[in-house]
Amino acid sequence: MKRTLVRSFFVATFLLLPLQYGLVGLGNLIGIGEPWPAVVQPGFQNVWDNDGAVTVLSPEFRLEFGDGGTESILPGLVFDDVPASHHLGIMRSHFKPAKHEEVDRATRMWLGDRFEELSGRRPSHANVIWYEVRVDQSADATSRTPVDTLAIEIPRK
Amino acid sequence: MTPSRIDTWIHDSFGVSAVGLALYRILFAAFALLVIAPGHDVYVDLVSLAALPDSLYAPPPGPMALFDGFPSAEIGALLHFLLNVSLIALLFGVRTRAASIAVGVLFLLVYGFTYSVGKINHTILFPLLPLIMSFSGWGAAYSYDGLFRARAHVSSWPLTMLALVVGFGMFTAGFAKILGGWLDPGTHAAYGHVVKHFLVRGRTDLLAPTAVEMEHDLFWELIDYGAVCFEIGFLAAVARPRVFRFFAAFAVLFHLGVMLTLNISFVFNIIVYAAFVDLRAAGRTFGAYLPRIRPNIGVRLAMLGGVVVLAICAQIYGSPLLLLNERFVMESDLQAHEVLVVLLASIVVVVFGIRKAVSPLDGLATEIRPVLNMDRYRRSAVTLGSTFFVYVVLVATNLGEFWPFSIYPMFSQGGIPWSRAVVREIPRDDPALGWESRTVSQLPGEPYPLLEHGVDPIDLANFVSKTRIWDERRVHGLRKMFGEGEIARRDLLVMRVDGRIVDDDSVSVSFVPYALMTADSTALNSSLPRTSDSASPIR
Repeated sequence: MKRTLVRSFFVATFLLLPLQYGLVGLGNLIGIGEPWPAVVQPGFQNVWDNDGAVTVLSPEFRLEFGDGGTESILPGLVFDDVPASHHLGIMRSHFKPAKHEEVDRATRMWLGDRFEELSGRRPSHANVIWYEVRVDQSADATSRTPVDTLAIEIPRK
Repeated sequence: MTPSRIDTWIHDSFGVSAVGLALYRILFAAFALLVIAPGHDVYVDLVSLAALPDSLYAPPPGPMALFDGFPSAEIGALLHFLLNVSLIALLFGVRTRAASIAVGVLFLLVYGFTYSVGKINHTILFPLLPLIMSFSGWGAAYSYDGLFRARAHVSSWPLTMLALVVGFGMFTAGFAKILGGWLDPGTHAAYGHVVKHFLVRGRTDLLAPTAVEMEHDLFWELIDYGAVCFEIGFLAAVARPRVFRFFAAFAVLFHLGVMLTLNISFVFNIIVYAAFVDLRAAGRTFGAYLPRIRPNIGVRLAMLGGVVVLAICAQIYGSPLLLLNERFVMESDLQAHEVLVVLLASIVVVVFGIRKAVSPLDGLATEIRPVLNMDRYRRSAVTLGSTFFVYVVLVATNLGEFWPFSIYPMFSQGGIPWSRAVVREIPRDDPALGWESRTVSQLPGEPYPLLEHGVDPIDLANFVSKTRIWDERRVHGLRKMFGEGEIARRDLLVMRVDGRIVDDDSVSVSFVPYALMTADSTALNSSLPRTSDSASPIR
């Protein structure tokens, strides 16, 4: 390959790398998320306040059955075909009350089938409860407070 | 920089040879087949993903938005097969450039679908590598192309390009940390992540418990600063090949540290860093030991047939390394084969790093040859030292024994509480069966001799005592230990046995029922931590 062409490749790369990183920042800023593919490595941007506590959001499905019974299932069990590191991502994308006032029928149907498979009976409703898990390492204490709920009606078969 | 200096940097930073590049090509393809294992490892398994409804398809901005949903299981399997064919073609150097581009594009696509559930794992450097290296002529030697087609010209500029991309990628990680406040002395960012991943995400393997207990302000602040400096410095190092090689080598140890404490392996980056080994010297050193192949029709047919046969094998059987994941199940989502690869890479870096530090000689060739040529006493010492190092690393990180490196702690645990497991055969539909703890005289049913039924008592005891969350996967693992055929014949109650010294002169032994396995289901003790807080049976 000619040297001038190779040099052009490098010039293009020098320009494209910061440009695509700018798009990554823009995507995060306006809330559409990080593009794929993009030359970005994980930043682990959040920091730990030495005097405070670690706080994270943790969701779970609370199933309600026709006979009044309830059962809780963690997303990891519902989405066990998906890598564990993606479970929270799925929940954030599809089951955050602020983003989704209503879950579409296809998802509700699939969830109903999945819940039936896992618990042996089909629930009539499911609530996605988002807990704030607070770990205070200095006080050796962990608390879990429900902070948000998304109600999902499970369609009958 | 003047134009001539820029050209020198582009073309002469990293020395290459046809043999060195060929060795790296073979290593990369083998790594992708054995470690990444398309279609078999959970991160590159589109067939499993096909079980999700298309309504959950949430593509990231970019080309994945062109698709309406996840591929069907059939299309997923076809993509896996194409990827396996491309990788085997790359391994044998058949149509190397086309195979390299196919590998890169297919990995981008497969990862793209995996990341269309709402989360991106930053594997980008791995698929970009074959795309960039397709211009290097890495198929010129030890390849079908080299034997039967026009010999390709080798170029080193793709390595400089790869260094630029890797350096920039690492820079983005460091830059995000600066924006997030990692350099604020009032924060302990790395420690916060360790605590969060340990206590909330269940990443409790390897040295994570030790790291959580290490509340040392200065240490964690140094880690915060060190991580940022290292990642930002990576980009600056691109200008100096020798410095960049040091950064690439250190990156392996950096990922080792992340894996040990955060239980995140980043195994796909390891092979990218390996591209910056001195390939010219590696070619000189190892090329002498490689067989010379004469081009004839037999070789031609064997190579072309090998692509098809091995691709089918890879498609059906996957990687034998994945068997490790069944043998060594981790509490976190870390996988045993990833741990092995990162450990091996770290050992290579440490061994060569030490030799580099003590030797005034330069280059990989001069590093390897003395080891091969040294007298038998020195070679014995090096072998013993390396074995001891592996032993220390494996035993230390496993908090116990790690086959085949055994320790013999006989009688060294006296007085310490212990835990084992027993299994009882229970009469069908026993109404008196409860979940309360029992003494030896209150055990239900009949003894179930484990060894007679091919179940290793130590394995079972470890499985029972080390399982923290009893999810479906662990229950499946427990049933698999006994076999569905055996469970169909008899109901089995797995009990944990805890023993401890009481009143300084006697031993208390209690039996806690954990799981009742019947033909249809597995009922768990409701007090066990599990993914569902109900006591309903899991199958």
